[in-house]
Amino acid sequence: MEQTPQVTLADIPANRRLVDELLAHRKIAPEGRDYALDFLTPADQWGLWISRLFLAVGSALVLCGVVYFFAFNWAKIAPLVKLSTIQGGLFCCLLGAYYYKLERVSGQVLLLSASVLTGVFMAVYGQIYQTGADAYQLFMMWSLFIFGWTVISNFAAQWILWLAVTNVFLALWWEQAALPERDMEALIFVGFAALNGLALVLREVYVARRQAAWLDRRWVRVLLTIAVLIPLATPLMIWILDDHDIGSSLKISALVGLVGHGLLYGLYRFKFRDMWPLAAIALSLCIILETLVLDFLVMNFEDTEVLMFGLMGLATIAIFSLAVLYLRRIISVMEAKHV
Amino acid sequence: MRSKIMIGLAVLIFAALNYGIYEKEQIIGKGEILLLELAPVDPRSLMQGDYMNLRYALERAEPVKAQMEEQKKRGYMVIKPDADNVAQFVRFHGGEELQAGERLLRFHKEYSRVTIVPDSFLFQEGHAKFYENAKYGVFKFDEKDKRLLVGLAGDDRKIIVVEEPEL
Repeated sequence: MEQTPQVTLADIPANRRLVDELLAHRKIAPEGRDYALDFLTPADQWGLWISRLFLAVGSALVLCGVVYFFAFNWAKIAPLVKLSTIQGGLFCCLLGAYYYKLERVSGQVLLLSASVLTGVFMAVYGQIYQTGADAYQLFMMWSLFIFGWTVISNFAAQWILWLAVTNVFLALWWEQAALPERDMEALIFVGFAALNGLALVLREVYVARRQAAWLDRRWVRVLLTIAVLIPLATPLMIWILDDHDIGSSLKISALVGLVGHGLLYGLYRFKFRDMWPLAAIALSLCIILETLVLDFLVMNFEDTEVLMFGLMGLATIAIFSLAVLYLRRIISVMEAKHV
Repeated sequence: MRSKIMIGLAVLIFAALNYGIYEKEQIIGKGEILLLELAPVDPRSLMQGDYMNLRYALERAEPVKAQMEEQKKRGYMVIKPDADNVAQFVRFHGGEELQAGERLLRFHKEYSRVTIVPDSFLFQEGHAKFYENAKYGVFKFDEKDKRLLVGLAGDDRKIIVVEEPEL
Protein backbone atom coordinates (compact mmCIF):
# COMPACT_ATOMS: atom_id res chain seq x y z
CA MET A 1 0.00 0.00 0.00
CA GLU A 2 1.18 3.45 -0.91
CA GLN A 3 1.80 5.48 2.24
CA THR A 4 2.30 9.22 2.31
CA PRO A 5 4.32 10.25 5.36
CA GLN A 6 2.50 13.57 5.93
CA VAL A 7 -0.85 11.98 6.77
CA THR A 8 -2.14 13.24 10.09
CA LEU A 9 -5.02 11.90 12.13
CA ALA A 10 -7.23 14.77 10.97
CA ASP A 11 -6.88 13.61 7.35
CA ILE A 12 -8.36 10.19 8.05
CA PRO A 13 -12.12 10.18 7.82
CA ALA A 14 -13.76 8.52 10.79
CA ASN A 15 -16.52 6.19 9.65
CA ARG A 16 -18.16 2.90 10.40
CA ARG A 17 -15.71 0.97 8.24
CA LEU A 18 -12.70 2.40 10.06
CA VAL A 19 -14.19 1.49 13.43
CA ASP A 20 -14.97 -2.05 12.23
CA GLU A 21 -11.43 -2.48 10.96
CA LEU A 22 -9.98 -1.29 14.25
CA LEU A 23 -12.11 -3.90 16.00
CA ALA A 24 -11.10 -6.58 13.51
CA HIS A 25 -7.45 -5.82 14.20
CA ARG A 26 -8.21 -5.90 17.93
CA LYS A 27 -7.13 -2.32 18.42
CA ILE A 28 -10.36 -1.55 20.27
CA ALA A 29 -12.76 -3.58 22.41
CA PRO A 30 -16.38 -4.31 21.34
CA GLU A 31 -17.54 -1.75 23.93
CA GLY A 32 -15.20 0.77 22.34
CA ARG A 33 -16.72 0.02 18.97
CA ASP A 34 -20.25 0.58 20.28
CA TYR A 35 -19.20 3.82 21.91
CA ALA A 36 -17.45 5.03 18.76
CA LEU A 37 -20.41 4.20 16.54
CA ASP A 38 -22.81 5.92 18.92
CA PHE A 39 -20.54 8.95 18.78
CA LEU A 40 -20.31 8.90 14.97
CA THR A 41 -24.00 8.34 14.35
CA PRO A 42 -26.05 9.21 17.44
CA ALA A 43 -29.26 7.25 17.86
CA ASP A 44 -31.44 10.33 17.52
CA GLN A 45 -29.92 11.22 14.16
CA TRP A 46 -32.45 9.19 12.23
CA GLY A 47 -35.23 11.25 13.83
CA LEU A 48 -33.65 14.42 12.46
CA TRP A 49 -33.19 12.73 9.11
CA ILE A 50 -36.78 11.60 8.84
CA SER A 51 -38.13 14.94 9.98
CA ARG A 52 -36.08 16.68 7.28
CA LEU A 53 -37.28 14.13 4.74
CA PHE A 54 -40.92 14.73 5.65
CA LEU A 55 -40.39 18.48 5.56
CA ALA A 56 -38.89 18.29 2.07
CA VAL A 57 -41.43 15.83 0.63
CA GLY A 58 -44.37 17.57 2.31
CA SER A 59 -43.40 21.03 1.05
CA ALA A 60 -42.72 19.70 -2.44
CA LEU A 61 -46.16 18.02 -2.59
CA VAL A 62 -48.01 21.07 -1.28
CA LEU A 63 -46.22 23.31 -3.80
CA CYS A 64 -47.01 20.87 -6.63
CA GLY A 65 -50.65 20.98 -5.57
CA VAL A 66 -50.64 24.78 -5.69
CA VAL A 67 -48.96 24.79 -9.11
CA TYR A 68 -51.45 22.34 -10.61
CA PHE A 69 -54.43 24.07 -9.02
CA PHE A 70 -53.55 27.31 -10.79
CA ALA A 71 -52.47 25.57 -13.98
CA PHE A 72 -56.09 24.46 -14.39
CA ASN A 73 -56.95 28.12 -15.06
CA TRP A 74 -60.31 28.15 -13.25
CA ALA A 75 -62.71 30.33 -15.18
CA LYS A 76 -64.97 30.75 -12.16
CA ILE A 77 -62.35 32.33 -9.93
CA ALA A 78 -62.06 36.04 -10.66
CA PRO A 79 -58.58 37.06 -11.88
CA LEU A 80 -57.91 39.41 -8.99
CA VAL A 81 -58.97 36.76 -6.49
CA LYS A 82 -56.43 34.34 -7.98
CA LEU A 83 -53.65 36.89 -7.88
CA SER A 84 -54.40 38.00 -4.31
CA THR A 85 -54.66 34.40 -3.11
CA ILE A 86 -51.16 33.71 -4.39
CA GLN A 87 -49.87 36.92 -2.83
CA GLY A 88 -51.52 35.88 0.42
CA GLY A 89 -49.66 32.57 0.29
CA LEU A 90 -46.46 34.40 -0.53
CA PHE A 91 -46.99 36.69 2.44
CA CYS A 92 -47.65 33.78 4.81
CA CYS A 93 -44.50 31.97 3.66
CA LEU A 94 -42.42 35.09 4.28
CA LEU A 95 -44.02 35.65 7.66
CA GLY A 96 -43.16 32.06 8.56
CA ALA A 97 -39.61 32.47 7.29
CA TYR A 98 -39.25 35.62 9.41
CA TYR A 99 -40.65 33.88 12.45
CA TYR A 100 -38.56 30.71 12.14
CA LYS A 101 -35.44 32.65 11.02
CA LEU A 102 -33.30 31.78 8.05
CA GLU A 103 -30.82 29.93 10.26
CA ARG A 104 -33.30 27.07 10.58
CA VAL A 105 -34.29 24.65 7.85
CA SER A 106 -37.97 25.40 8.39
CA GLY A 107 -37.35 29.10 7.69
CA GLN A 108 -35.29 28.29 4.63
CA VAL A 109 -37.93 25.93 3.25
CA LEU A 110 -40.56 28.64 3.73
CA LEU A 111 -38.41 31.12 1.82
CA LEU A 112 -37.99 28.51 -0.92
CA SER A 113 -41.78 28.10 -1.02
CA ALA A 114 -42.17 31.87 -1.31
CA SER A 115 -39.76 31.77 -4.26
CA VAL A 116 -41.80 29.04 -5.96
CA LEU A 117 -45.03 30.99 -5.32
CA THR A 118 -43.43 34.01 -7.00
CA GLY A 119 -43.14 31.85 -10.12
CA VAL A 120 -46.74 30.68 -9.75
CA PHE A 121 -47.76 34.33 -9.60
CA MET A 122 -45.84 35.09 -12.78
CA ALA A 123 -47.49 32.13 -14.56
CA VAL A 124 -51.01 33.13 -13.48
CA TYR A 125 -50.28 36.75 -14.38
CA GLY A 126 -49.36 35.60 -17.88
CA GLN A 127 -52.53 33.47 -17.97
CA ILE A 128 -54.77 36.42 -17.16
CA TYR A 129 -53.08 39.24 -19.03
CA GLN A 130 -52.33 37.80 -22.44
CA THR A 131 -49.99 40.30 -24.03
CA GLY A 132 -48.03 37.98 -26.28
CA ALA A 133 -44.93 38.76 -24.25
CA ASP A 134 -42.25 36.15 -24.84
CA ALA A 135 -42.06 33.41 -22.23
CA TYR A 136 -38.43 34.22 -21.48
CA GLN A 137 -39.60 37.44 -19.81
CA LEU A 138 -41.59 35.45 -17.27
CA PHE A 139 -38.55 33.41 -16.29
CA MET A 140 -36.29 36.47 -16.38
CA MET A 141 -38.52 38.32 -13.92
CA TRP A 142 -38.85 35.21 -11.76
CA SER A 143 -35.09 34.77 -11.69
CA LEU A 144 -34.52 38.47 -10.87
CA PHE A 145 -37.20 38.61 -8.18
CA ILE A 146 -35.87 35.66 -6.21
CA PHE A 147 -32.17 36.39 -6.71
CA GLY A 148 -31.91 38.61 -3.62
CA TRP A 149 -33.59 36.02 -1.41
CA THR A 150 -31.33 33.35 -2.87
CA VAL A 151 -28.19 35.30 -2.02
CA ILE A 152 -29.17 35.69 1.63
CA SER A 153 -30.77 32.25 2.02
CA ASN A 154 -27.59 30.20 2.69
CA PHE A 155 -29.64 27.27 1.46
CA ALA A 156 -28.47 24.89 -1.25
CA ALA A 157 -31.96 23.95 -2.49
CA GLN A 158 -32.80 27.63 -2.96
CA TRP A 159 -29.74 28.05 -5.17
CA ILE A 160 -30.67 24.98 -7.18
CA LEU A 161 -34.16 26.41 -7.77
CA TRP A 162 -32.66 29.73 -8.86
CA LEU A 163 -30.21 27.99 -11.16
CA ALA A 164 -32.99 25.89 -12.71
CA VAL A 165 -35.13 28.98 -13.35
CA THR A 166 -32.14 30.80 -14.81
CA ASN A 167 -31.32 27.87 -17.09
CA VAL A 168 -34.87 27.94 -18.46
CA PHE A 169 -34.57 31.70 -18.89
CA LEU A 170 -31.32 31.26 -20.81
CA ALA A 171 -32.84 28.66 -23.13
CA LEU A 172 -35.96 30.72 -23.88
CA TRP A 173 -34.01 33.96 -24.20
CA TRP A 174 -31.69 32.37 -26.74
CA GLU A 175 -34.61 31.15 -28.77
CA GLN A 176 -36.93 34.15 -28.46
CA ALA A 177 -34.77 37.25 -28.00
CA ALA A 178 -31.22 36.52 -29.08
CA LEU A 179 -32.59 35.04 -32.31
CA PRO A 180 -29.37 33.31 -33.34
CA GLU A 181 -28.59 32.50 -36.94
CA ARG A 182 -28.91 28.84 -37.82
CA ASP A 183 -25.17 28.42 -37.74
CA MET A 184 -24.88 29.86 -34.23
CA GLU A 185 -27.78 27.99 -32.59
CA ALA A 186 -25.66 25.34 -30.87
CA LEU A 187 -23.63 27.89 -28.91
CA ILE A 188 -26.38 27.69 -26.30
CA PHE A 189 -24.73 24.49 -25.01
CA VAL A 190 -21.62 26.48 -24.17
CA GLY A 191 -23.91 28.94 -22.38
CA PHE A 192 -25.47 26.24 -20.21
CA ALA A 193 -22.09 24.68 -19.47
CA ALA A 194 -20.65 28.08 -18.52
CA LEU A 195 -23.57 29.01 -16.24
CA ASN A 196 -23.73 25.69 -14.43
CA GLY A 197 -19.94 25.36 -14.48
CA LEU A 198 -19.63 28.74 -12.79
CA ALA A 199 -22.03 27.56 -10.09
CA LEU A 200 -19.99 24.38 -9.62
CA VAL A 201 -16.68 26.24 -9.42
CA LEU A 202 -18.09 28.76 -6.92
CA ARG A 203 -19.41 25.88 -4.84
CA GLU A 204 -16.00 24.19 -4.76
CA VAL A 205 -14.15 27.44 -4.00
CA TYR A 206 -16.43 28.45 -1.12
CA VAL A 207 -16.45 24.98 0.38
CA ALA A 208 -12.67 24.64 0.06
CA ARG A 209 -12.23 27.99 1.81
CA ARG A 210 -14.68 26.81 4.47
CA GLN A 211 -16.81 29.90 3.93
CA ALA A 212 -20.04 28.09 3.21
CA ALA A 213 -20.60 25.00 5.33
CA TRP A 214 -24.21 24.88 4.09
CA LEU A 215 -22.93 24.15 0.58
CA ASP A 216 -20.82 21.24 1.74
CA ARG A 217 -23.32 18.62 0.67
CA ARG A 218 -22.33 15.92 -1.73
CA TRP A 219 -25.67 15.98 -3.60
CA VAL A 220 -25.08 19.63 -4.54
CA ARG A 221 -21.75 18.73 -6.10
CA VAL A 222 -23.19 15.77 -8.00
CA LEU A 223 -26.28 17.64 -9.17
CA LEU A 224 -24.17 20.52 -10.46
CA THR A 225 -21.73 18.11 -12.12
CA ILE A 226 -24.64 16.49 -13.96
CA ALA A 227 -26.01 19.93 -14.89
CA VAL A 228 -22.63 20.71 -16.47
CA LEU A 229 -22.22 17.28 -18.11
CA ILE A 230 -25.53 17.35 -19.99
CA PRO A 231 -24.72 20.46 -22.10
CA LEU A 232 -21.17 19.14 -22.56
CA ALA A 233 -22.26 15.74 -23.87
CA THR A 234 -25.26 16.79 -25.97
CA PRO A 235 -23.38 18.60 -28.79
CA LEU A 236 -21.00 15.64 -29.07
CA MET A 237 -23.94 13.29 -29.48
CA ILE A 238 -25.61 15.55 -32.04
CA TRP A 239 -22.38 15.70 -34.00
CA ILE A 240 -22.06 11.92 -34.01
CA LEU A 241 -25.65 11.31 -35.10
CA ASP A 242 -25.97 14.17 -37.57
CA ASP A 243 -23.45 13.56 -40.33
CA HIS A 244 -24.30 16.45 -42.59
CA ASP A 245 -25.26 20.04 -41.81
CA ILE A 246 -22.79 20.53 -38.94
CA GLY A 247 -22.59 24.23 -38.11
CA SER A 248 -19.45 25.83 -36.75
CA SER A 249 -21.19 26.54 -33.43
CA LEU A 250 -21.85 22.84 -32.96
CA LYS A 251 -18.19 22.09 -33.58
CA ILE A 252 -17.19 24.68 -30.99
CA SER A 253 -19.71 23.29 -28.49
CA ALA A 254 -18.49 19.75 -29.11
CA LEU A 255 -14.89 20.83 -28.57
CA VAL A 256 -15.89 22.59 -25.36
CA GLY A 257 -17.69 19.38 -24.44
CA LEU A 258 -14.56 17.27 -24.83
CA VAL A 259 -12.34 19.73 -22.98
CA GLY A 260 -15.00 20.12 -20.28
CA HIS A 261 -15.13 16.36 -19.65
CA GLY A 262 -11.34 16.40 -19.27
CA LEU A 263 -11.37 19.34 -16.87
CA LEU A 264 -14.09 17.79 -14.70
CA TYR A 265 -12.23 14.50 -14.65
CA GLY A 266 -9.02 16.21 -13.57
CA LEU A 267 -10.88 18.21 -10.92
CA TYR A 268 -12.47 15.21 -9.20
CA ARG A 269 -9.73 12.68 -9.87
CA PHE A 270 -6.79 14.69 -8.55
CA LYS A 271 -7.99 17.83 -6.77
CA PHE A 272 -11.12 16.96 -4.79
CA ARG A 273 -11.08 13.17 -5.19
CA ASP A 274 -14.75 12.26 -5.18
CA MET A 275 -16.20 9.08 -6.67
CA TRP A 276 -19.74 10.38 -7.25
CA PRO A 277 -18.88 13.03 -9.84
CA LEU A 278 -16.33 10.65 -11.37
CA ALA A 279 -19.06 8.07 -11.78
CA ALA A 280 -21.26 10.70 -13.44
CA ILE A 281 -18.45 11.63 -15.83
CA ALA A 282 -17.84 7.97 -16.64
CA LEU A 283 -21.57 7.50 -17.34
CA SER A 284 -21.56 10.51 -19.64
CA LEU A 285 -18.58 9.14 -21.55
CA CYS A 286 -20.29 5.73 -21.76
CA ILE A 287 -23.37 7.35 -23.30
CA ILE A 288 -21.20 9.19 -25.85
CA LEU A 289 -19.40 5.95 -26.75
CA GLU A 290 -22.72 4.16 -27.04
CA THR A 291 -23.90 6.84 -29.45
CA LEU A 292 -20.77 6.36 -31.49
CA VAL A 293 -21.25 2.59 -31.65
CA LEU A 294 -24.95 2.95 -32.43
CA ASP A 295 -24.20 5.36 -35.26
CA PHE A 296 -21.60 2.99 -36.69
CA LEU A 297 -23.90 -0.04 -36.45
CA VAL A 298 -26.90 1.75 -37.96
CA MET A 299 -24.74 2.81 -40.89
CA ASN A 300 -23.36 -0.66 -41.57
CA PHE A 301 -26.11 -3.08 -40.56
CA GLU A 302 -29.17 -1.22 -41.70
CA ASP A 303 -30.75 -4.30 -43.31
CA THR A 304 -30.01 -6.82 -40.57
CA GLU A 305 -31.58 -5.33 -37.49
CA VAL A 306 -31.24 -8.51 -35.45
CA LEU A 307 -27.49 -8.47 -35.92
CA MET A 308 -27.36 -4.75 -35.28
CA PHE A 309 -29.16 -4.88 -31.93
CA GLY A 310 -27.27 -8.04 -30.96
CA LEU A 311 -23.95 -6.30 -31.51
CA MET A 312 -25.30 -3.22 -29.76
CA GLY A 313 -26.10 -5.31 -26.68
CA LEU A 314 -22.62 -6.80 -26.65
CA ALA A 315 -21.03 -3.39 -27.09
CA THR A 316 -23.13 -2.02 -24.24
CA ILE A 317 -22.03 -4.79 -21.91
CA ALA A 318 -18.41 -4.20 -22.89
CA ILE A 319 -18.50 -0.42 -22.50
CA PHE A 320 -20.21 -0.43 -19.13
CA SER A 321 -18.06 -3.28 -17.80
CA LEU A 322 -14.94 -1.35 -18.73
CA ALA A 323 -16.30 1.76 -17.02
CA VAL A 324 -17.11 -0.15 -13.84
CA LEU A 325 -13.72 -1.88 -13.83
CA TYR A 326 -12.01 1.47 -14.28
CA LEU A 327 -14.04 3.11 -11.51
CA ARG A 328 -13.27 0.24 -9.12
CA ARG A 329 -9.57 0.60 -9.87
CA ILE A 330 -9.74 4.34 -9.17
CA ILE A 331 -11.54 3.70 -5.87
CA SER A 332 -8.74 1.49 -4.59
CA VAL A 333 -6.04 3.91 -5.76
CA MET A 334 -7.77 6.88 -4.17
CA GLU A 335 -8.42 5.04 -0.91
CA ALA A 336 -4.78 4.00 -0.77
CA LYS A 337 -3.84 7.65 -1.07
CA HIS A 338 -6.33 8.61 1.59
CA VAL A 339 -5.61 6.29 4.47
CA MET B 1 -30.06 41.09 9.55
CA ARG B 2 -30.77 38.51 6.85
CA SER B 3 -34.42 38.46 7.88
CA LYS B 4 -34.59 42.22 7.47
CA ILE B 5 -33.06 42.05 4.01
CA MET B 6 -35.57 39.32 3.16
CA ILE B 7 -38.48 41.52 4.26
CA GLY B 8 -37.04 44.52 2.41
CA LEU B 9 -36.79 42.49 -0.79
CA ALA B 10 -40.30 41.16 -0.19
CA VAL B 11 -41.69 44.71 -0.04
CA LEU B 12 -40.01 45.52 -3.37
CA ILE B 13 -41.32 42.31 -4.96
CA PHE B 14 -44.87 42.89 -3.72
CA ALA B 15 -44.73 46.44 -5.06
CA ALA B 16 -43.52 45.21 -8.46
CA LEU B 17 -46.12 42.42 -8.68
CA ASN B 18 -49.00 44.70 -7.76
CA TYR B 19 -47.84 47.46 -10.06
CA GLY B 20 -47.95 44.85 -12.82
CA ILE B 21 -51.58 44.06 -11.95
CA TYR B 22 -52.46 47.77 -11.78
CA GLU B 23 -50.86 48.44 -15.18
CA LYS B 24 -52.82 45.70 -16.92
CA GLU B 25 -56.08 46.56 -15.16
CA GLN B 26 -55.72 50.10 -16.49
CA ILE B 27 -55.65 48.72 -20.03
CA ILE B 28 -58.71 46.56 -19.35
CA GLY B 29 -60.57 49.38 -17.64
CA LYS B 30 -59.77 52.28 -19.93
CA GLY B 31 -58.58 50.63 -23.12
CA GLU B 32 -60.41 50.61 -26.43
CA ILE B 33 -61.71 47.38 -27.92
CA LEU B 34 -60.51 46.22 -31.31
CA LEU B 35 -61.28 42.93 -33.03
CA LEU B 36 -58.82 40.83 -34.99
CA GLU B 37 -60.31 38.33 -37.38
CA LEU B 38 -59.11 34.77 -36.80
CA ALA B 39 -58.07 32.42 -39.55
CA PRO B 40 -59.52 28.90 -39.33
CA VAL B 41 -56.87 26.48 -37.41
CA ASP B 42 -54.79 22.21 -28.91
CA PRO B 43 -51.83 21.81 -26.96
CA ARG B 44 -51.04 22.52 -23.27
CA SER B 45 -48.76 24.90 -21.41
CA LEU B 46 -46.77 23.36 -18.55
CA MET B 47 -47.73 25.76 -15.78
CA GLN B 48 -50.70 27.47 -17.39
CA GLY B 49 -53.17 24.83 -18.56
CA ASP B 50 -54.97 24.48 -21.90
CA TYR B 51 -54.60 26.92 -24.71
CA MET B 52 -55.57 27.39 -28.31
CA ASN B 53 -53.19 28.41 -31.07
CA LEU B 54 -54.42 31.48 -32.88
CA ARG B 55 -53.88 32.39 -36.51
CA TYR B 56 -55.05 35.79 -37.58
CA ALA B 57 -56.51 36.59 -40.98
CA LEU B 58 -54.22 39.64 -41.06
CA GLU B 59 -51.17 37.37 -41.25
CA ARG B 60 -52.41 36.15 -44.63
CA ALA B 61 -53.44 39.53 -46.02
CA GLU B 62 -51.95 40.15 -49.46
CA PRO B 63 -50.02 43.35 -48.58
CA VAL B 64 -48.48 41.58 -45.55
CA LYS B 65 -47.25 38.72 -47.73
CA ALA B 66 -45.93 41.15 -50.30
CA GLN B 67 -43.95 43.29 -47.87
CA MET B 68 -42.74 40.77 -45.30
CA GLU B 69 -39.49 39.91 -47.05
CA GLU B 70 -37.73 43.10 -45.94
CA GLN B 71 -39.01 42.89 -42.33
CA LYS B 72 -36.89 41.98 -39.31
CA LYS B 73 -37.56 38.94 -37.11
CA ARG B 74 -39.43 41.05 -34.54
CA GLY B 75 -41.41 44.17 -35.31
CA TYR B 76 -44.69 46.06 -35.38
CA MET B 77 -47.36 46.47 -37.98
CA VAL B 78 -49.80 49.37 -38.18
CA ILE B 79 -53.51 48.53 -38.20
CA LYS B 80 -56.70 50.53 -38.35
CA PRO B 81 -60.25 49.51 -37.39
CA ASP B 82 -62.88 49.36 -40.14
CA ALA B 83 -66.55 50.22 -39.72
CA ASP B 84 -67.15 46.99 -37.75
CA ASN B 85 -64.20 47.70 -35.45
CA VAL B 86 -62.24 44.87 -37.09
CA ALA B 87 -58.55 45.60 -37.59
CA GLN B 88 -57.24 46.04 -41.13
CA PHE B 89 -53.59 46.08 -42.16
CA VAL B 90 -52.17 49.51 -43.07
CA ARG B 91 -48.40 49.08 -43.30
CA PHE B 92 -45.38 47.75 -41.45
CA HIS B 93 -44.18 50.16 -38.79
CA GLY B 94 -40.85 51.89 -39.28
CA GLY B 95 -40.84 54.07 -36.18
CA GLU B 96 -42.95 56.88 -37.64
CA GLU B 97 -45.73 58.78 -35.81
CA LEU B 98 -49.13 57.14 -36.01
CA GLN B 99 -52.19 58.78 -37.59
CA ALA B 100 -55.40 59.07 -35.59
CA GLY B 101 -57.07 55.70 -35.11
CA GLU B 102 -53.99 53.71 -36.02
CA ARG B 103 -52.69 51.04 -33.68
CA LEU B 104 -49.59 48.87 -33.44
CA LEU B 105 -49.50 45.08 -33.34
CA ARG B 106 -46.37 43.12 -32.53
CA PHE B 107 -45.33 40.31 -34.84
CA HIS B 108 -42.64 37.64 -35.09
CA LYS B 109 -41.27 36.56 -38.42
CA GLU B 110 -39.99 33.02 -38.74
CA TYR B 111 -38.80 31.60 -42.04
CA SER B 112 -41.55 32.72 -44.39
CA ARG B 113 -44.38 33.35 -41.97
CA VAL B 114 -45.52 36.35 -39.99
CA THR B 115 -47.09 35.58 -36.60
CA ILE B 116 -48.97 38.25 -34.69
CA VAL B 117 -48.54 37.86 -30.93
CA PRO B 118 -50.16 36.81 -28.68
CA ASP B 119 -50.60 33.79 -30.89
CA SER B 120 -52.32 31.70 -28.24
CA PHE B 121 -55.31 32.03 -25.98
CA LEU B 122 -55.29 30.39 -22.54
CA PHE B 123 -58.44 29.04 -20.92
CA GLN B 124 -59.60 26.59 -18.26
CA GLU B 125 -58.80 22.97 -18.93
CA GLY B 126 -61.62 21.35 -20.93
CA HIS B 127 -63.15 24.63 -22.08
CA ALA B 128 -61.91 24.25 -25.64
CA LYS B 129 -65.43 23.43 -26.87
CA PHE B 130 -66.67 26.91 -25.97
CA TYR B 131 -64.06 28.56 -28.13
CA GLU B 132 -64.17 26.27 -31.16
CA ASN B 133 -66.25 28.63 -33.26
CA ALA B 134 -64.46 31.81 -32.29
CA LYS B 135 -64.18 34.23 -35.16
CA TYR B 136 -62.36 37.18 -33.62
CA GLY B 137 -59.65 37.86 -31.06
CA VAL B 138 -60.74 40.70 -28.78
CA PHE B 139 -57.96 43.15 -27.97
CA LYS B 140 -57.84 46.16 -25.71
CA PHE B 141 -55.48 49.02 -26.48
CA ASP B 142 -54.58 51.86 -24.16
CA GLU B 143 -53.48 55.29 -25.31
CA LYS B 144 -49.81 54.31 -25.13
CA ASP B 145 -50.53 51.42 -27.47
CA LYS B 146 -50.06 48.72 -24.90
CA ARG B 147 -52.29 45.81 -25.82
CA LEU B 148 -53.96 42.84 -24.19
CA LEU B 149 -55.84 39.90 -25.66
CA VAL B 150 -58.88 39.88 -23.37
CA GLY B 151 -60.96 37.17 -24.99
CA LEU B 152 -62.36 35.61 -28.14
CA ALA B 153 -65.60 36.57 -29.89
CA GLY B 154 -68.01 34.70 -32.15
CA ASP B 155 -69.77 35.82 -35.31
CA ASP B 156 -71.84 38.32 -33.35
CA ARG B 157 -68.62 40.12 -32.30
CA LYS B 158 -69.56 39.65 -28.61
CA ILE B 159 -66.89 38.32 -26.27
CA ILE B 160 -67.46 34.65 -25.42
CA VAL B 161 -68.38 34.21 -21.76
CA VAL B 162 -68.30 30.63 -20.52
CA GLU B 163 -71.40 29.78 -18.51
CA GLU B 164 -71.20 26.36 -17.02
CA PRO B 165 -74.19 24.78 -15.29
CA GLU B 166 -73.87 24.79 -11.50
CA LEU B 167 -72.90 21.43 -10.14
